[in-house]
Amino acid sequence: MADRLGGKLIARGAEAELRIVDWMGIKALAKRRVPKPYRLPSLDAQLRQTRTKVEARLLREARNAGVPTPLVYDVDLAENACILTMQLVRGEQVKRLLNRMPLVQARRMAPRIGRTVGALHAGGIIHGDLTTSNMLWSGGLMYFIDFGLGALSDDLEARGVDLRVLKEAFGSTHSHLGECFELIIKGYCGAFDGGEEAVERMGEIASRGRYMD
Amino acid sequence: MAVGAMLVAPEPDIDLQSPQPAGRKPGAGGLVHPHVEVVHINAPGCGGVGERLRTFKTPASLSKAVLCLGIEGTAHTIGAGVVDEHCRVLSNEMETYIPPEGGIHPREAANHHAERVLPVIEAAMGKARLSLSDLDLISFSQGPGLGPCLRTAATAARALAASLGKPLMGVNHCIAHLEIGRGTTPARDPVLLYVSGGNTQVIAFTGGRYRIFGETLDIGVGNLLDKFGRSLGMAFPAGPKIEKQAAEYLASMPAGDGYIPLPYSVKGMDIAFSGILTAAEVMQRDGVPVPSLCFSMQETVFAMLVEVTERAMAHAEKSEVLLGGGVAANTRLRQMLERMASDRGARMFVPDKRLCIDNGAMIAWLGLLMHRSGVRMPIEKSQIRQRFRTDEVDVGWRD
Repeated sequence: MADRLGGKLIARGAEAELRIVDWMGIKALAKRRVPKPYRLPSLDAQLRQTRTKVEARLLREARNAGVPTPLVYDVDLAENACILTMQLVRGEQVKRLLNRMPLVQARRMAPRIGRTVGALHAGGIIHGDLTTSNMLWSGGLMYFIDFGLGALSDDLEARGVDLRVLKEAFGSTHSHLGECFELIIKGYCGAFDGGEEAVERMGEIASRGRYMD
Repeated sequence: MAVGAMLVAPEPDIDLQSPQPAGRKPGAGGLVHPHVEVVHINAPGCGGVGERLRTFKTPASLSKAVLCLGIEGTAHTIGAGVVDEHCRVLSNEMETYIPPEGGIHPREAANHHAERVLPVIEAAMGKARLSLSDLDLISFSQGPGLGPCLRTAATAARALAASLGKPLMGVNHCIAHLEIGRGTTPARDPVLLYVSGGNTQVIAFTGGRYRIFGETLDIGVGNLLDKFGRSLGMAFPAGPKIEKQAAEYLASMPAGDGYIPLPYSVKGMDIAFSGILTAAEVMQRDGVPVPSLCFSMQETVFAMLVEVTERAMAHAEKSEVLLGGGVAANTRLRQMLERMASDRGARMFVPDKRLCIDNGAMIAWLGLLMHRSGVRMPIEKSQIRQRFRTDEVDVGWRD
């Protein structure tokens, strides 16, 4: 709960509040999935709990797969608190970074995004919300965060959807960097043996969608 | 004057420079912009718009009304509406094809539209108290939508434009839903949650275009409700009937919420509905009571919609949300969206109900905006586009 959390509020996203807290004497980041009064309380509680648990698990699994993620210190589900306490990674959102850096640099950054997604998929992890807001650049490493909508899966369809979400989000957030998506895909296929198959599936999913020429 | 006659034997054009219906000021009389509250422009008490048009005569150089007729025909509704350059809706008439049974068949809907398009245009001109020669522009829904329906509306628009010698403009139906919201509510830079039978999209303006932040990966939410309703024996449109059952169920359940979990499918900012439909149909066959299913379906589906809308607002950094499409009529969805907005310090707007559903006035307004921004569309470039994407349109009328 907010009062037991304390700390300094640093950001409020669509579904969570982020605070800097003291955790056993070290500075940590506490992510609290706040109740959403617009939805039914039982549905709300179930969604927040599931996502908090999934996120904690996938943050760890992603590290095992070689993808930098914050270390998870604590998962607090008591009384519906839904608080995840983790390592404080100080970095810049890749979204901001891409929008301010020159094209040459963005072209160098793009394959790294792809390689990291490839490492996730190779490790059997689906992120579920692949946007550049959920990637942090810190100390020369690309951290992935916000795994709440993710899953452990080797399913080709799930990978295809994951890539499609990335493509749509990338296109709408970085419309001036359209050509960079190909570089992302290149990096992805380079890091993941099943990459080409998943990219093909992404195209198939898009063509199933509405109003795609 | 009879529209049919016009198509055959056009009258000579009225000189555009001569004094035209004028003297209307923004917000005059009953013409304040409606939002949330239902305000029918031509309702009794609003003061016959057309009469005022004719009463005042000011020099053309000072005030020249620009009038556009919009013809909508993307799916089951054929509509015609007249809008002026201040986005005042002078008329907005429509007729909806309701299939005797089952879903909508594009060919049959198009036949209906072909029969009804002239009466609907006549009604729109009559309500606006204008004659066809008063119009400055004819616009139509170029896409996306059902091919035969689009072609019917487009043919009517082309014939009218050609016979009157007026410019023609084909517009994107989804963007029209957003622009009519900006034109008739205080919303300036909203995220649009567009929910109808065929479409479910979350749209916002970034980088010079309207972009789709999230959308359905399979069927539209209205289509989901209609399909589910049909399996329960409800007639089209099923949404209001499902809403009623859900409300009654809620009223009968004072303790606990009686929610039956259904698949909740959010992928980033996209959503999928087909799993919910299958699950609900299986539960219904297994004897789960219909009212509780209706309630649970609404709660699940609307929570998904509001969640992706909120995510888009956070992502695109917008503080307004606009609701559009036929499903915007649902009270529970409005309630949830409004609550989300107020919790994040944002504002929610819903246009007049007749401007939320498929209608000609919104087509007219977007046509006007595009024409004013310099877009021109010769007839030979006015082919319909069944798969017209929202993000293909170059938006020259916004900063």
